Amino acid sequence: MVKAPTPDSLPALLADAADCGPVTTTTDRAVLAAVRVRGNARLAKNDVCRSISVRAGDHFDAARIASDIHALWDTRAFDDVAAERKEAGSGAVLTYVVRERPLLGHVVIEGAAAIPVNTLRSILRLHDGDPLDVADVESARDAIRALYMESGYRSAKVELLLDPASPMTAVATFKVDEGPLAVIGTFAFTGLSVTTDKELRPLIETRKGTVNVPGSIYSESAAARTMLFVQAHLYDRGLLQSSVDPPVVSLSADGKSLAVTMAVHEGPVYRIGKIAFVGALAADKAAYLRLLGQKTGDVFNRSILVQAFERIQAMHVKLGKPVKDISPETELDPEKKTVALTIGLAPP
Amino acid sequence: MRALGVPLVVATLIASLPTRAAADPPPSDVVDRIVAVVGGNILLLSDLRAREAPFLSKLEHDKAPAAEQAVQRAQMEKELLSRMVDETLEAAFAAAGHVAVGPLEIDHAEAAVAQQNSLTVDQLEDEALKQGMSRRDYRAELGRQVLEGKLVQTEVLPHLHRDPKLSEADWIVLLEKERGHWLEELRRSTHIDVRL
Repeated sequence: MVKAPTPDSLPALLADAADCGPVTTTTDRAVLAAVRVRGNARLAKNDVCRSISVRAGDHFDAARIASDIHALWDTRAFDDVAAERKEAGSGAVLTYVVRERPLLGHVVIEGAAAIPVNTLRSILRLHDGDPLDVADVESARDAIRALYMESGYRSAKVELLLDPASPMTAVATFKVDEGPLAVIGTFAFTGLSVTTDKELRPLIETRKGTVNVPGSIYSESAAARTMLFVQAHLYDRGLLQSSVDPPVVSLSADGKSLAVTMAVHEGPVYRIGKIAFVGALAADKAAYLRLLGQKTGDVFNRSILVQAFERIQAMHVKLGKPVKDISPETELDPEKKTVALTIGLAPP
Repeated sequence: MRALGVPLVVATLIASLPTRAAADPPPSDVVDRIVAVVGGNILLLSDLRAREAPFLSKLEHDKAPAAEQAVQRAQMEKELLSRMVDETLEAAFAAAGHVAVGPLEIDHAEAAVAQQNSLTVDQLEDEALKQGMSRRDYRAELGRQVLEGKLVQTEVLPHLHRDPKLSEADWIVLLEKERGHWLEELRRSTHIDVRL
């Protein structure tokens, strides 16, 4: 994990503890005589106190103090906050101890050649002069690496260095090691018995042949769309318990070639069992069955069913009785490998 | 009765203060502080104390030697905070996907736990109270468990294929293992800084 820099000279800049508002004198140990802040360097006392709700004269309230710590954290100005209580002669003193985040002086990107530095800067969401949030710069590092991955540089490494530039500013340096461009050697489907490679291959999203085909780079987002297309196709082949795994991508030892494998779990083929139409019917069952385009005993096909719903709605409109919604309910019988269809027609 | 679905993790926090000379001013007590940063969220010492409260009495009853108890406490504290970090990661992930748990869902979960233990909901809450957990804390714990279940449904189950020959026990082990991988990925992609 990357740590924010804490320059040696910082303690000298820290302000002494300062009171948030007037102090009071009390002998009641449950009442606070003073509320103070300590540790602020760049920020003025009042800027810190603004986020603190507790004041001298208030009763000690652990929940309010916890809430104040959250409020101070939410300003994004501090990377550590604590509350301390000390008994003094005039009563209890509550001190909020803060550690300010250094400001981000500037961002340096080294080693980038395949992707222009300006392109990388545009995805960073880091701004000079903002308080340095380690989580943000780590996200920026991950974003650079993700862009390289999506651009085909599967072995790219990005190192993040945070160095103090002055007592209260830091420089974030991203050192990029791009590695070689990796292209796809093979893209294979496994687990096919009902379907074939020949029918699934056209479903691969290739963005006009630029990704996810042999010789091109691998795109995770295109592969995710491919999974959806393949799954839809499996449903059209009656494979109602099928699933598709996210692709496994293996990089060759030299980092230049990829083997992509998409595992398909087909399961059994389901045929249509009983068919029922319920709800706001406008014709006899035979008319609906004709429009359905599938009958008992046919292999279930989701696309045909969806098209049939459009025909059924058109018939209802023609009869002056449009329906609000057509919703199919399916009930699988794993023993018989059949699916019972109940098609509900909701009135407007 | 069965456990109430809370981890048997006990932790006590004893502020270790430096030894001071008699002439020094009295030391300050740390009232609260950040014990972990999880992405943009923080966990406080007071959060940890609230979560460990139900288990303190149990540890005290064990009557182990002080040194042994201290070791147990340190280990339990570490484990409890690790669990809280994971819960924070899950909560942030759920919030980003607009996944939430409503009071009615917690009601149902509470009724189910009560039924499993042959208790009424009131009796269940009394039992929780005996273990040092208020009704609010217990319902919060149930809410976390319901949310965890929802995330398993959406993020873990779709990646698993259940072999019909697999026993229920083995299936649960497999589920837990896959959930561990998912959590590990969440941890890897989030800035986490534990400051115990």
